Amino acid sequence: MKYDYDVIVCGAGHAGCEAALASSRQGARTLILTGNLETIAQMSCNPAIGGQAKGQIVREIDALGGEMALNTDFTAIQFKLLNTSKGPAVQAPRAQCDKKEYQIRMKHVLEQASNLDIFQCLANGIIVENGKCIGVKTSLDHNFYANSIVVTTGTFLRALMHVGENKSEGGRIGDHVSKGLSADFSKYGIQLGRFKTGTPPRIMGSSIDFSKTEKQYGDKDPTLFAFYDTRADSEKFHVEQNSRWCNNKSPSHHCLNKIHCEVTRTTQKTSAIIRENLHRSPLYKGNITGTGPRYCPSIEDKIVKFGEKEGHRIYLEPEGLRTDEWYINGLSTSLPFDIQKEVLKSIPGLENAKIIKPAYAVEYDYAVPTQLSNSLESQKIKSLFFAGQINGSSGYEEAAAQGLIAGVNAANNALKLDPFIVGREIGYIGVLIDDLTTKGVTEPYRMFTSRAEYRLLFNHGSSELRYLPLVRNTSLVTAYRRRMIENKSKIIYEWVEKFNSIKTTSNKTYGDLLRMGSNFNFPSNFNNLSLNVQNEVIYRVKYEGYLKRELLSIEKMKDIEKMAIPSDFNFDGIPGLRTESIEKLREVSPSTIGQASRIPGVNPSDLNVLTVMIKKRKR
Amino acid sequence: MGDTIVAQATPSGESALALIRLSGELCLKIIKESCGLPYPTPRHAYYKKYISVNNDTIDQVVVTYYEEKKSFTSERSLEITCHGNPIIVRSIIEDLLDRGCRIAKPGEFTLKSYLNGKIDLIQAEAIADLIGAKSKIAIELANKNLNGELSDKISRIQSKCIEQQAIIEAFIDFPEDDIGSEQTENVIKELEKSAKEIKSLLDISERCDIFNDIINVVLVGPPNVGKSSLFNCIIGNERAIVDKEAGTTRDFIEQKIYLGKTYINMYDTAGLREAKNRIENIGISKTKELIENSDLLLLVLDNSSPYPRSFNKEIKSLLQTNNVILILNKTDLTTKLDLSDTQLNHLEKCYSTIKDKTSIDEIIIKISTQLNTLFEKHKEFGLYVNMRQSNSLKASYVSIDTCISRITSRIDIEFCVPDLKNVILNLGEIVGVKDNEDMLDQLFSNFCIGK
Ligand SMILES: Cc1cc2nc3c(=O)[nH]c(=O)nc-3n(C[C@H](O)[C@H](O)[C@H](O)COP(=O)(O)OP(=O)(O)OC[C@H]3O[C@@H](n4cnc5c(N)ncnc54)[C@H](O)[C@@H]3O)c2cc1C
Ligand SMILES: Nc1nc2c(ncn2[C@@H]2O[C@H](COP(=O)(O)OP(=O)(O)OP(=O)(O)O)[C@@H](O)[C@H]2O)c(=O)[nH]1
Ligand SMILES: [Mg+2]
Repeated sequence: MKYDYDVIVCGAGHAGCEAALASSRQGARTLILTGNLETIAQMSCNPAIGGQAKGQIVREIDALGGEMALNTDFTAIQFKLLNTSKGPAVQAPRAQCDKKEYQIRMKHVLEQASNLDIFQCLANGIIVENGKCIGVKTSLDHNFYANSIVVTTGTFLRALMHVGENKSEGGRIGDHVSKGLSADFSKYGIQLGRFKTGTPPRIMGSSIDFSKTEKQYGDKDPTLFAFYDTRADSEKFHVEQNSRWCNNKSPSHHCLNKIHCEVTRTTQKTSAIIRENLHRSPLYKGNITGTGPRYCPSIEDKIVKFGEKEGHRIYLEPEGLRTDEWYINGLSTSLPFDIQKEVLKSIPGLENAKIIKPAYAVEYDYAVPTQLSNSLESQKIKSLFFAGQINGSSGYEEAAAQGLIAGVNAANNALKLDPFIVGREIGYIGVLIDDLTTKGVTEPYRMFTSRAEYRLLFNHGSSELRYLPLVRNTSLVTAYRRRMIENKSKIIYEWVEKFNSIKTTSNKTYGDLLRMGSNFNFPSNFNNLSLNVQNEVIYRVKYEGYLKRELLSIEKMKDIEKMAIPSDFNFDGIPGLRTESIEKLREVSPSTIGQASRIPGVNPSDLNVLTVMIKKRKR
Repeated sequence: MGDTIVAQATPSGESALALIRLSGELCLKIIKESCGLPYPTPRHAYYKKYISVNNDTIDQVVVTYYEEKKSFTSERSLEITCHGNPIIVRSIIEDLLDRGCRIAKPGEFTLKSYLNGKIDLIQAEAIADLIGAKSKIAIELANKNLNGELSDKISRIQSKCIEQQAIIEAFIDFPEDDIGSEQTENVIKELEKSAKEIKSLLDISERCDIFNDIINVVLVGPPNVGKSSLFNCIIGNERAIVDKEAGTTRDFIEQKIYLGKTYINMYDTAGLREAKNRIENIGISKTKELIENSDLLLLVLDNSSPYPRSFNKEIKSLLQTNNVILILNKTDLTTKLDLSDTQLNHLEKCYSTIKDKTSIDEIIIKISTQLNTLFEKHKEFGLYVNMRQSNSLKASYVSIDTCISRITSRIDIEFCVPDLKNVILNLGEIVGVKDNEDMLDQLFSNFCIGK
């Protein structure tokens, strides 16, 4: 059969964009379909990228040649490094973006990518032959055929929005709903679940009384997301340089703070209003069946569960430079519109706030992620990949990261290359994919640094070094950049060596002095290195003991991680395995004993039995 | 893998002999260092003293070494046959752990054997059953043995630690959510409390060492009452000097003997009185130290002399240790002892004379029944902490201690978490593993987090 494309990506949200770009970079002829060209890479909720654990993910996406970091740096209007009072491992960059600029630029990136076609229309079914997905049906009644299909439809499957008792269909306000796919998925044995999420109202800046709110500024010195010391000039702001109409061909771009945010708090009155009207919240009436995330509680939840002693903090965030729309961070709700107005009135500074978009909650289908392998390919239908919120995750960064991995794997599948697997020991992206596909989800999954066993090794500055072994066999980053990363890595290792061997006057090495916390002067040729390199060397030397301990446990894990479980291995009827474990193992279909060991409910004796049976089969 | 594993191969409990099996690299080093056999001939049974890392002789054992590829597991292996006393078995296994071995998981020897190609497919399937069955039994045993109180206690400590981790994680992961560093002080306080509780469980486990450690039985009394003579009779050996002079024994004498069902250390000590010189005084203070560490005291008086009034002031401290057998010696002579107006009068009395062997045998029986009630008492004590549990407790104590000192010295908080996770993990080896989800449950139920 002759396919139109190697890879088709359905949906151009954060996952879809990275998937399409990664696939095309790997050399696969790629098509991206989306229901709405005007909302490519739209941030459905708050206008910010990064933050704790998410910021680290964005830097890892950059290490894999993804676009999110560059796009954020270029369209950011405020930068903030979080956790500066703590160590490097848990510091995370965050940026407020101009929401529209972000979308526009990402669309332009897609337009310029080679090997990539964009087309606006809805996928409403999949075409499956002999257990392999070979194409999609569309709202145009035209079928597209490809070797691999990637589904990145986010919150859109059978999406239902709630504002109080008011219900309407759509994946987010003003956008479409996606029907048809859910039914097809069920037909082929892909299990679906239902989650919900919510967003606060947007108001006019001109209606805020800024005398009653407190200003919050960005950092003087922005911490950027992308790595620039390893990129050629042509790779830095490539879209701008290649734009047909843009006069400014300069590779440099000033990433600056252009706005500030404002802070206020809810009051006793806010709580009273919410309590009085709780019966009108579909969340509390049971009209919403989907499970929501505990880490993004609605204001109803916050007040019912945690009371109102000091009020709850509310951040007011501008959505862009060419709009006066403000996002009210902390006031997500599904209360009816009239109550939303009352609630706002009770908050200092927002007494006269004019709502221009109501708050709402949205319920949507997700596909159970334990049915995926760690390349994000479905274990039910070959050549069908899933990424983003459809996998039960939440968040732009989590979506983008999965998109990238699914994109590479869809391309590799079409080009008959090996799967591209990121282990938990490499970084947050590895943890994200392993958690989703192994442990599954009970609420929309968001990354926390605590989910990583080797958090101390995952400082954001080291992303390029950690992913270097993985990008070597791909074309995700250019040959030039790869050489630069190899070089940087060499310099860092050499300096770590030097710090631990060169003695200073006091007969102690620089390493000893660093670990003792003494003050001293670095050798002058060290001071000449780039700040990134310096920081990385200092971190590695200073916390050597702690880092070694984590490296050691990685080595231990690798032993069982190496023991592969054949993909067609049958768990049924194995003597000594408990039925409960068999069910879990069958559902997840782990690819290694290591992965099996992380499935909740599978215990060490199950693993022993499995090891025996796998060895037995091999002989 | 590389670990050297050890387990008792015979059923645990009382038996004539017990077999301890080892498999792994360390076997050769162990037979060299503990049995003094640097070049053992494979498959040859040696009769040797087993010497612990602390240089104590634990038992006379029969030890056999198997070369690589020629053993059941196909790894270097050792079989140690010792006396079937659980205390001896345990001392040897503890010592092997000290030497770097770890306790084998259920079915692990068989598993290794299969993995290394020593047994065939049909046997392999059988082990699958076996492992399943053994682990079930193991769990049942664990549940049975783990009397509710202990597991409740440890679970409570564990959840306290998880709570503290949740506070730290909230502080790390939600920097925008008003979670102040002022919580740290409280975290330290809570962790210190938990550390104390772990410590007290460890103390209990040490008291349970009565099942592991050798028991100390100490002969005490005024000078010249016949302590050394009795000592010699009991150990069956003229070890101590006996003389009609009072104050003959100065330094204490120690002898390990097998008595009743267990090994004990018998001590003969310097007679207690107002010391006449410096050396005797040193001897007496050593005696007092021994009294404090004793499990059972044999208080000897001379039945043929009047009660020495000056001994009254020693009695109080002697009676504080609750296990005392009162022996009235020299019954072959005329009775002159009258205890009616002393505190000793209510104690059960044992009469003896070294001239009559049966009176000595009766004393020995008395000692062994006393030791048995001692064991029973500890069993009733409820919180029995076994070796595996006490190892986990020890590990968790080390980790919690490090964690506290790191937090206290203001090291960036994320560097303190691995130790805390270790505490939770080690306690989990006793009461069940908890994962990050459990921590997140704590976190979200205690903190209002998020947009
Ligand atoms: C109301 C709301 C509130 C949210 N609140 C939060 C929050 O508080 N915190 C948080 O972390 N995340 C939140 N999110 C989630 C966040 O927006 C998503 O995690 C992220 O955008 C997911 O990216 P994605 O690429 O998977 O999907 P999306 O960004 O949803 O993109 C899906 C894309 O697929 C397209 N599409 C859908 N169906 C089809 C089809 N059949 N054919 C072709 N194209 C299709 C859509 O047009 C869209 O472009 C919220 C989302 C919504 C809608
Ligand atoms: N007749 C008789 N003499 C005994 C008996 N037991 C011990 N003796 C004698 O009592 C004297 C003292 O005995 P020891 O065993 O040295 O007494 P001790 O209590 O160890 O004395 P110190 O070491 O000095 O405290 C010796 O002469 C023994 O022979 C006994 O049962 N009957
Ligand atoms: Mg004596």
